[in-house]
Amino acid sequence: MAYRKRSLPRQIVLYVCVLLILGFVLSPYLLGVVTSFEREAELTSRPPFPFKAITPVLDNYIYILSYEPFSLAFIDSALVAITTTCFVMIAGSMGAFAIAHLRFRGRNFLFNFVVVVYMLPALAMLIPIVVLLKELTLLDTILGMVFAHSILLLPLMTWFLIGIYEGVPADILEALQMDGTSRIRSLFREVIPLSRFGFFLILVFSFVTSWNDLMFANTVGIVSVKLLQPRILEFMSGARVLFTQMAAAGILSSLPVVALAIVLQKQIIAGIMKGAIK
Amino acid sequence: MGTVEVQNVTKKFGDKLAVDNVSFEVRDRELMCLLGPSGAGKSTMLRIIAGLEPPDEGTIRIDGRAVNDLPPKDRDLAMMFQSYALYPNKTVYDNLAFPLKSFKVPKDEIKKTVSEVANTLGITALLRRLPGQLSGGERQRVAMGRAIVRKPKAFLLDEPLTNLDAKLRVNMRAELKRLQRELGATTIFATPDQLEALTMSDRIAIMNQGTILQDDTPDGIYEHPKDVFTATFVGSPAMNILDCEMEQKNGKIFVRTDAFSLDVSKLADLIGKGASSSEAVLGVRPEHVTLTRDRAAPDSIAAEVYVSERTRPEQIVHLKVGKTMMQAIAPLAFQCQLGQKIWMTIDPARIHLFDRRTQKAIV
Repeated sequence: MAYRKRSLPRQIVLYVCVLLILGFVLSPYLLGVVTSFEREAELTSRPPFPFKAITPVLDNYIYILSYEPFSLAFIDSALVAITTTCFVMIAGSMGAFAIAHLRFRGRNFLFNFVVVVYMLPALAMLIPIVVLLKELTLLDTILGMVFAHSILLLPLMTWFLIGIYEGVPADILEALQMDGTSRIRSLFREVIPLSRFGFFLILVFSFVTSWNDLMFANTVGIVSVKLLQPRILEFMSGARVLFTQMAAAGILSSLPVVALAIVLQKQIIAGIMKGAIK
Repeated sequence: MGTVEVQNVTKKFGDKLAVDNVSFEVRDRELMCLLGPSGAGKSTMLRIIAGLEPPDEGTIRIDGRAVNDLPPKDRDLAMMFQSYALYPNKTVYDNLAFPLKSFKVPKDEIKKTVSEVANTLGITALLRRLPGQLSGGERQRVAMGRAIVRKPKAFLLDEPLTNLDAKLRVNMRAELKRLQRELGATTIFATPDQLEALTMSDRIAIMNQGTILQDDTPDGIYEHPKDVFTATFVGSPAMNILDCEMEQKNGKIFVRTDAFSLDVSKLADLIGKGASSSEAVLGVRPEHVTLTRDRAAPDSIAAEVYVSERTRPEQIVHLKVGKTMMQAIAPLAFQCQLGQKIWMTIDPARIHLFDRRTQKAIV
């Protein structure tokens, strides 16, 4: 899109609109940030609106950071999200590449199958997955968690990746074939670098979905594996809700995602602009 | 360099027959052209030779050895794609070096070969650029270079000039031919452009609907087309085609169209052999129609000028002969007005006659 100079009134209207949308989208998060710096007593003694000047304290953060189960859950969640993302990106890429560029018997069936599986509600898959993991004695383990998340993510991400890899012209793949490049090398050394924007977008998407998952984490992890989101939910157990501590935990758990988004900002935006997700 | 042999190759896509029992042979150092309209099966044929597409039936031989079971990389062929298919994230140097790298050629040899090839093609100054920063002609050269570096047994060029603008296409036509001769490279190239085929090739195979209609030298194709399709596809302006009847009168043979009759007794021997019925198709190349203001010969035919295109250095005169339209090439000096009555003379020795039912050549 070429940059156009806009007249001043139009620019003002534009910025007001952008601010309104941003405010709408970000207000819960901002409220969370504010809450996380408040004292529990102070918060419960008044309604959240209208805002009142607060004296920010770091108590909640200090508490959460020294609360060992939280740190452990943080590490476990990171382990699960990173492993899941790696697995989904590698397996999804190979599947998507095959469906996008190779001609083989059953290709259309596989493509439709991927779409159908993705359309199944996650809840419908929950029980079978739990039963399966129990049989495999993987229930309540990190590996089981990675399995569950991969099953959840793989069809959707494969579907997105098919669209992305289809953007690489078939001629280029055939040229690679003539030049003696194996398929697997073509995929990892040429196709993925050529579609890196879409690839990073899907990578972030996978990581965030796994990281933010509550439902599977709450079912597959029971005692020994407690991921971050279920751990945060515990602040809401029973009759008492620890709002400020929970807010601090929530904000902390959002940091890796925010960091990832900032680091890969360029790629993600380019991915969206290029219509990586159709 | 080497030879390429295609033997009874058939390829179907679903129900559609893309290549139908095609056979031809390309000799060492020869430039062979597959000429035909889009959808004729030219690209499919090239892709089958390259190994990108397996044939349903038939054999491909390179240097006499059947290669059906070999993957593309082991066939020692280089292919240039219509879109050029340059690697967009690699510099020109890396594009040229890539085929060598994957065949594990030593580094200093790669360097030497790439700079040689770049020199030959005049793209040395572009080596550090990315394909996106090149013009169409430059990209075409790089694609050519990438095919040359490996010194393969044969080149397969899929419409190499189609994506260039008109002027560049004419220049590259000559350059490509020159390059092919200098390298002594066995080459098969596919094109829908009859002019490219006529000017560049040693031999032309006319393809239509998956089959080869005629496989001959450019002169052979132009002078002796074996069927109506070849006759009209090759040559510009296209050959005049008129339905006609053949009849014998007073020991002479006439070709009678709606508008005129032509005494073709001179061709009697040839016609006698080839004709199976009296229904025929008459073909006359525009350059074999001579125009005059006055009746030049007893067998001159009256015609009316419909329009004249002064293309320079000649003109193409569109004629109305009775109800049919014909085209003739005349010198620019021949002045004519719209609607003017003139005379045309057709040399019976230069006509083509085809059987109307089979569309095959009689003469």
